[in-house]
Amino acid sequence: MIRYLLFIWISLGVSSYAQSYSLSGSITAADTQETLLGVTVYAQSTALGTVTNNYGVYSITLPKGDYRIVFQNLGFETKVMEIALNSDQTLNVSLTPKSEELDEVVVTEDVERIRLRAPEMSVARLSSKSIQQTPVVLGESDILKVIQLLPGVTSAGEGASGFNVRGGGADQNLILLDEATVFNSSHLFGFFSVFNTDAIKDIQLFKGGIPATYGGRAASVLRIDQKEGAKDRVRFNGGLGVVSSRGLVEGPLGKGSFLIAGRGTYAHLFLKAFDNPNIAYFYDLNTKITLSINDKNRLLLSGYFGRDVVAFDNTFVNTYGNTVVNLRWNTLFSNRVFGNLSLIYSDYYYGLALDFVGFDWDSGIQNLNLKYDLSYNISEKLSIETGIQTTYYNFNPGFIRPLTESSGFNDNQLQQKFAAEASMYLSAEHELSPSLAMRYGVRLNQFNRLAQSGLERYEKNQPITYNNTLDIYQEAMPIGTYSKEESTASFTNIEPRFTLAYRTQKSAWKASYQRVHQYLHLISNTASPTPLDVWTTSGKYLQPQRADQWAVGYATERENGNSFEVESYYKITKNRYDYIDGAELVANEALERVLLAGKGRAYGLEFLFKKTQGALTGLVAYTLSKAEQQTDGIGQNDPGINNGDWYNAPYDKTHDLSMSITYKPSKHWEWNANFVAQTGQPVTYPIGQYEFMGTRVPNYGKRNAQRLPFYHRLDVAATLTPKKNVMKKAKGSWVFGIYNLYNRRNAATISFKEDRETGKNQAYRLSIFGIVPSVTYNIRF
Amino acid sequence: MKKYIIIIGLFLFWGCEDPIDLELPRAEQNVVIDAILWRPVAASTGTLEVVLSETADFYGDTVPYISQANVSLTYGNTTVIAQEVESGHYKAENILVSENEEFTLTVTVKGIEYKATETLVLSTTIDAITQGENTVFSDEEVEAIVQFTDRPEIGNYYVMDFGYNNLFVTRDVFYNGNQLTFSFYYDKFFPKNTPTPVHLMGADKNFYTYMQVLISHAGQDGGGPFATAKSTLRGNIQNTNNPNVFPLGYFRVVERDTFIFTATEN
Repeated sequence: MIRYLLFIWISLGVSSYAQSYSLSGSITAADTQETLLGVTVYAQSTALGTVTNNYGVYSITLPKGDYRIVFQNLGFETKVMEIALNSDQTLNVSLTPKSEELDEVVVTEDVERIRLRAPEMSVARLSSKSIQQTPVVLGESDILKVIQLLPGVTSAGEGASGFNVRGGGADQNLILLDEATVFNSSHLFGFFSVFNTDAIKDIQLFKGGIPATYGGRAASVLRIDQKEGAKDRVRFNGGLGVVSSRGLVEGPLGKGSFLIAGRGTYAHLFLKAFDNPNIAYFYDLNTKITLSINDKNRLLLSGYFGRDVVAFDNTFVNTYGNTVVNLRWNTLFSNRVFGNLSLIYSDYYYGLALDFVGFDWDSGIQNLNLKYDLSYNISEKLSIETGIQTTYYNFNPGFIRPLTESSGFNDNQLQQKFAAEASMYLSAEHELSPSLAMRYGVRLNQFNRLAQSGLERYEKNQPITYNNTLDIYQEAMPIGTYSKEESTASFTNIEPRFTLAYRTQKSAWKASYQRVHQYLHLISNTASPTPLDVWTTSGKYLQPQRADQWAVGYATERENGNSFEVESYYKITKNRYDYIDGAELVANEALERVLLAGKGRAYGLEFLFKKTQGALTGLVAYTLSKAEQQTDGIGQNDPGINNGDWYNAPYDKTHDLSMSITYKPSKHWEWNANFVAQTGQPVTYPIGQYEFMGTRVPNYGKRNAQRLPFYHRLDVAATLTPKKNVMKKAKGSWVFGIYNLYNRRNAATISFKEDRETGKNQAYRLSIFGIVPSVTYNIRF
Repeated sequence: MKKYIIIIGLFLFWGCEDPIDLELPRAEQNVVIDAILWRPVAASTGTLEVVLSETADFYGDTVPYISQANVSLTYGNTTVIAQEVESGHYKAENILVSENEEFTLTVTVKGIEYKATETLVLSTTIDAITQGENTVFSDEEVEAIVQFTDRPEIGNYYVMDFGYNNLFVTRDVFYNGNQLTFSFYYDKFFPKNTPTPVHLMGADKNFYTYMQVLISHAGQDGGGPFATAKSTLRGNIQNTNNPNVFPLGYFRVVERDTFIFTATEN
């Protein structure tokens, strides 16, 4: 099949090559000379256009002739250049940032329609500017909070790590920071994201229609690109907020640039939550160095380091965080061929010191990834991307050592697990006719669980057994262990990807299909994901997850900048693992004995209305959806979980409405408001109580059969940019924000226990944020 | 480049836990069997203690004990009938409890028969419990420093009952054969200058798992977003008439050691 596709491409390429030439180059910001991603480039009065790639480089092929080439990007002045294309040409362009004063309606013409026409759907692209304008809790602008305003994106609740896309789990999101996988996206159990908005240039979220370039996670891809650093002069910007502060320095460095950004919260942050003089804080550091070797070659070195520390009186110290290092080498082979080599190291660490139990616990995942990506702009009708990548994983479920001589604990290394993954992909964007375009591709994965010692063997290869008399699942007794050679497992999978766009004058109909395999599983049995949740890998007992998603959509765009999109999706996930009742996951050497394979299905309808021009801009998003799981059991006449019936996934939200409005009446003031309303998270409530060993115990009913109360919240923010500044050249602004304006006590969880004062049973609501005012001063020079 | 930044005031209203009125779904009443056959460590005879009750409305105040049930224990060729010593509490003493013997508990309530069979799980003894001065969440806590020595040759799991609704489970996977020292923190409701029996009993894997889930259900893990998700907890007792209507509770046969701990005012 691949050979056949290649043949088509080559013949198409050859047939149109004779009378066409390519125009290519890089696009930068005029002031900082930072490369710009996702800039629309198109030839006026033709249907032909493209966008700059993830390194700010574009390449477009046009028939020989004279053109007016338009370059447009949100927040920049549109630039039009006349060009006589009679040979392959290089055209580097710099765009001037739109000054705050000039905020009138600009030419949009066909521009947005180029994107409307593109064979892509279910994709959201955000600039760091639009993120910084959204009011969020504690005055810190936050990527994860902003993407949750989009249709189809929610979180399990306040205080939950990560986010959920189209009924997928938080572990089903591939989060790439400068192309490196980030395993935990949240600081302080979900109150902040690990991404420092100041250091970020561009964000893309793929909810569906994922190009073959990406793979490995079943629900979505969140791609985050860091800034490279200004090349004109040393610049600084920073902000001082009530609970956190941040600073960024960037500037030229030889033939390139550098960037260093840091952020931290103050140690006393979460004290009041626990009425206690304990500590909870985080800090993180983003760095990037870009070096131009020559016109054709560029090196980029990115780094991220972040840590969270939560400690109770030194008796309990919990430290966790990501470390990411990435070296990339861009090569422009010709006007049509762009290549990138990446060498990526990513590490997630989780440590726990328990003084009162007397041990110290270290766990984590490391991976090393080498990949090469190539894009080739063959003709005006066809461009392809292809690449190959290999990843090595090391999972350390835990190393335990005694804190003191007397603690009684032995040194203990839980069995480490190793895996290697290889994949290759081929993806094409193809104009089939003036009204029909297609992106299609295929990704081939091979995942190998590598040899380990101590992998247990069970009768009939069945690590879980069903006890008929008691009607419960039990862990099977191992009947021996596999030898190292026998402990391996290998999976090979093909993933087709497909997006079709059919456009009329002002609107487009789209359809997509994708298949994605996920070889890593995050096993969690808590109501909200926590950093302690266990990442594990497919192997002899755990099969890879496989998600198939179909989506259809309609999008329309008006000249006045208003757009409307509606999309519907249906998704089926195989091998979604759920734990059996009473499973112990932490420090469990044989997770296969407590997990049952199930399937998930999710479907929904998403609406998005956007107004992008004028003094009043904003978006309204509404999602109607369902996410369910079904766990059948192991085929021993057993009932599975919940009697094998479908049950609500923990992050199922029937209704989800978000509104975000920005009003800019003058150049000094800007007002923002966000409103969010959604169905409460599914939970399990007690249906009675009983006494056991003198203790009153709530008796729980079916899994996820009830829901938390409806969630809603209004946030507002105002940004004041004073005319006169404290310092010459410096530019300051105040951001006043109020999170949860009407002080709604949204339940993060409801727990049930005995009131120790009265001895009566009681339901307790944990609401994390009441009304939270904040003030931040931002400065740039 | 060296410029200053202006300091900001701070007003924060943190949310926290508050009691709410919440209507809950009602379920049919279930029989609850809390049964233990225990002997002191290395002793030869032990006691059967069974508490029979029914599930109640979650917000209810009273425990509906079941009186006039038939409770018996069968081992080898012997059957012992337990006597009701107070409402819902049944007891039989001087039972020969030996290793590898199968003990079958039979409870008959309103014509429905419930059965469970278990064998003895050994335990170790508590070396000492002393009062410490540390606290974790609140200054009013009482730290009990517990020491016991794991016996490497016996089971891997222990259940502890610290009294006043304080249950605890531990397994020896990280301290097999060693003396373990750890702290247990009582909350401010723990009475001072009052001798409190603390029990340490052996457990098999199933009972350990059962207790772990039960402790989490009872809210002793604190509840909140990081608590484990909940679902119906089944024990090891079956309804021989209708297996689908299973009773709650557990029957365990264990060695149990008791240490009397008395906390003083700090």
